[in-house]
Amino acid sequence: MIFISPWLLGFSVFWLWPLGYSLYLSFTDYNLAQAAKFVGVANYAHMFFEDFTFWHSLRVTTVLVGLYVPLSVVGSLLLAVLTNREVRGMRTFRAAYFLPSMIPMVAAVMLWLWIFSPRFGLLNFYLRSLGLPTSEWIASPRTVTLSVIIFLLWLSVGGPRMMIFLAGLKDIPVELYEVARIDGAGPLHQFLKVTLPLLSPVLFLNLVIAIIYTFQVFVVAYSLTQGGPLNMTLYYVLYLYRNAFQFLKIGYASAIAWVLFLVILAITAGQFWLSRRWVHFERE
Amino acid sequence: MARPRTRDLVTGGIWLTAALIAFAIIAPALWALTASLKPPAELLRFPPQWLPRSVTFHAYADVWSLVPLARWIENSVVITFLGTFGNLVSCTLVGYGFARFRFPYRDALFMVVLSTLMLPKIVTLIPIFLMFKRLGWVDTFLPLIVPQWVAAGGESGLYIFIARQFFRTIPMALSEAAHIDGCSELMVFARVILPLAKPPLATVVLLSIVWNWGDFLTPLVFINSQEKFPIALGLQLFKDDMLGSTKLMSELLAVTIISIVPIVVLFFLAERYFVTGSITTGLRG
Repeated sequence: MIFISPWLLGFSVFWLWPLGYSLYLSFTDYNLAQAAKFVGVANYAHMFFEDFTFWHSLRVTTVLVGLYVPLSVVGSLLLAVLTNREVRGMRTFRAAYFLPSMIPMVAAVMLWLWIFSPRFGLLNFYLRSLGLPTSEWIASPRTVTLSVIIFLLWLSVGGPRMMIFLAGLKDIPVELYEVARIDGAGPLHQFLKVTLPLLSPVLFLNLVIAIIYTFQVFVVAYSLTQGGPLNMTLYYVLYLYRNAFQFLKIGYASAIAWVLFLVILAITAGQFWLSRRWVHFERE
Repeated sequence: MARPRTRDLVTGGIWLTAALIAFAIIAPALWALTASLKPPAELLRFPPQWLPRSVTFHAYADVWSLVPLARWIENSVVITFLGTFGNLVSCTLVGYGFARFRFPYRDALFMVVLSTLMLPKIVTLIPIFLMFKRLGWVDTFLPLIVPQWVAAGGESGLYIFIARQFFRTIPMALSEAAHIDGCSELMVFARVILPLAKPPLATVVLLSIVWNWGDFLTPLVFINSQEKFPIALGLQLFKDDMLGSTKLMSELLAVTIISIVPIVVLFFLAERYFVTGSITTGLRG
């Protein structure tokens, strides 16, 4: 017990107490200058019925999660299947896929600033030389979501998520594939009937984590797009950050934070409930 | 049953696909590297050239006087070192506790450890900010470092998990033998168990270095003075100060490269630890 005391202390001070205190703050009006004033559910009422920006930020975040998470999880899975083949140099390729997820995210943003630049950017240059239409990328509200998705895919498709899939693939007994082949199953059939069911717990884990993390996307919005253009990347946590640390609406920001907490909790619980229908958990 | 020739073709196809994807993923960094080595006139030339005609290191020479880069790097090193050291000490102790001892609610508490990795940290950020403000710690490194000493900063939950998974594999007989020889619990841990635990500890250290070096939100909230910025914030400041102009583009790319290089070097020196870290746990985004 004495060994875990650092964690008991840290958990109480940096998780338990802040969670409770921010719940209390969410029922107050507080701007750091004056003492917190209890206002009941006024913050929540304002958020739900008057603050259109709140709904907007929730909507753009949900759209990002809805588009990016499936692409990214499927992308990582396909990449894992590809790199599971022991071909010469595969170790090096895997390292290359993994690298973007390790570098500071702000540095990654700096790398992409120029790629996305409508005038000088590499992306438009190559599109043009291939005779394809160019795009305004992060400069236009219509393409900024696509740009963020491309950036995030680059950042994480070959990262830890792919490695987790890869570990899951290596755990599947080779004999199962041999049996399937003898029964006349082609590669696609083997993937659908052997790989996917046996990989479903790993797929489930990756899906849950990807959704939780994407709801909290922040750095790309803060640094690459500054929430714009036209607030199209005013993602939830950026809006929360601005309310708390720029507008100093501490009480209101705490309410926004608690709603995020509950949304994430609800989605995760929902996924666990749905998982009984499609995830093949191993019986011990 | 594929004939040898088709099999070669399939293998070749896989290799080519994998190589193309690898190139596409590395390309942005390569581009930034070569662009930072170009003279300003060449940087904006169309069509873009992958290889600079004339290599110049002027951007790398100039940045040090343009921005307090040396200071930012020093700050990042200090924060990363102290934070990682704290995580190493606290998370191995805690992981050991969860792995080797029986106590009430142990498994429930361990589930709580894991769930902290899933909970949105942003919810706790405002109260923690108010607390550190009251303590007068805002605009010091303490808010970035102290939580890591009590296994509650960055990805501490993950490190506890890595440590616990490893300690569980060490036979209890080893500890018992040491007890009989008169060792205390702490001595068993320090003299018998820790020397065996180099691989998981290396994983924890490396993951924590990467996290501390790249963390953006925590310093953004707690650090105000530019001379106390870590490199990640400094990079952002440099970009903001350019106001969209391309005048100092090579310099910005040079600072970007400088901020990436330590991580890349670390990664290639110890690739397998990073990979095991992400696999044994499956708990990173």
